[in-house]
Amino acid sequence: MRILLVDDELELVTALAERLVLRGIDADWALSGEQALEKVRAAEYDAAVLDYKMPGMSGLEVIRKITLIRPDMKFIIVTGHASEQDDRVCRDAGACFYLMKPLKIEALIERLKEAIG
Amino acid sequence: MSLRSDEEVSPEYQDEDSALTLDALAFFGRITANVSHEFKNRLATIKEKAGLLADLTAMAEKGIRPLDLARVNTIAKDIARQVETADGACLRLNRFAHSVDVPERREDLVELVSLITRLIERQAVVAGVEITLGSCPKVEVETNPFLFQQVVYYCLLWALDHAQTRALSLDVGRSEEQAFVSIKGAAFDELVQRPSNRLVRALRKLGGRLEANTGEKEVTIRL
Repeated sequence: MRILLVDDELELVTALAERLVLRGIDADWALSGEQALEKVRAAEYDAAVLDYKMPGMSGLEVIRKITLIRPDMKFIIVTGHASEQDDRVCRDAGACFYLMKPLKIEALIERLKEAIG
Repeated sequence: MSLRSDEEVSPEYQDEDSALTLDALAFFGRITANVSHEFKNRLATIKEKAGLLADLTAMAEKGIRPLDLARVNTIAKDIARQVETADGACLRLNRFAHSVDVPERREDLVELVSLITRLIERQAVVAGVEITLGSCPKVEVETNPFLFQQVVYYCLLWALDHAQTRALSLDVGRSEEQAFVSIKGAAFDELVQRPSNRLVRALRKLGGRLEANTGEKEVTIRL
């Protein structure tokens, strides 16, 4: 499983990536939508876990742009505050799941497995 | 070009006090939502760092990988730094919450402007704009601190949406016995020509006025 984590919080995204790697998941990270697009153009990932609100491109905009490059990639959106409306918007944009911060790592892995199939 | 706070710009508000109360609640809600997002990010990071410590310890206990004490120390310091950041946000929120305690008191406008810019820092980051407050000496005036912050907030929000560069600079001072706050970095003509009703209400209650300086891409709030 190759995962791309996208969040502008450097310390959060690097710690989460390391914890996933310790669990045998090939996890890479990017600090912005622009950086994520560069990575997706250069390498293949099974899924991306994206922060909903980021400087520059939002998580939803990143999903739309990545889908044009890698139509088979799966997406999970992560947010500080979930609402039913946001959940619907994220799913409409192509996200498989919509999770709340702070994340439960085992739940995230379960969702990733479920999304990738 | 200027807009005086006592000018009638919209016939909409028949019950101004009710509208002001709703505006204040919306402003208070927006600021607390901003801070709660900040807390969430700090908590999420602390949780991952603590989880990482637990992972590394568990691996050492199982004999998979020896515990790197220097690494553990670094992660512990990272957690402490996140707690300090969250504590700073908590202090700012507390200071902001107390700005409704009295309708008017002697306040340093530099401190209030500094506070409100820090409280909307995340909104600015998401908008890709950096807000800087110059080094200003104290400007103490009798004012309503909550309403003053509300007016600055509305102008900053507008500026974030209309910033012509990636930077907004603020200045606080006194000219001709009048205290002022200026925001530079956006074309503010429209804000002054067609201000939102909530900005007009807050300005009127505060007893202030707005002036746009077209050439300088600057707006000045005068008290």
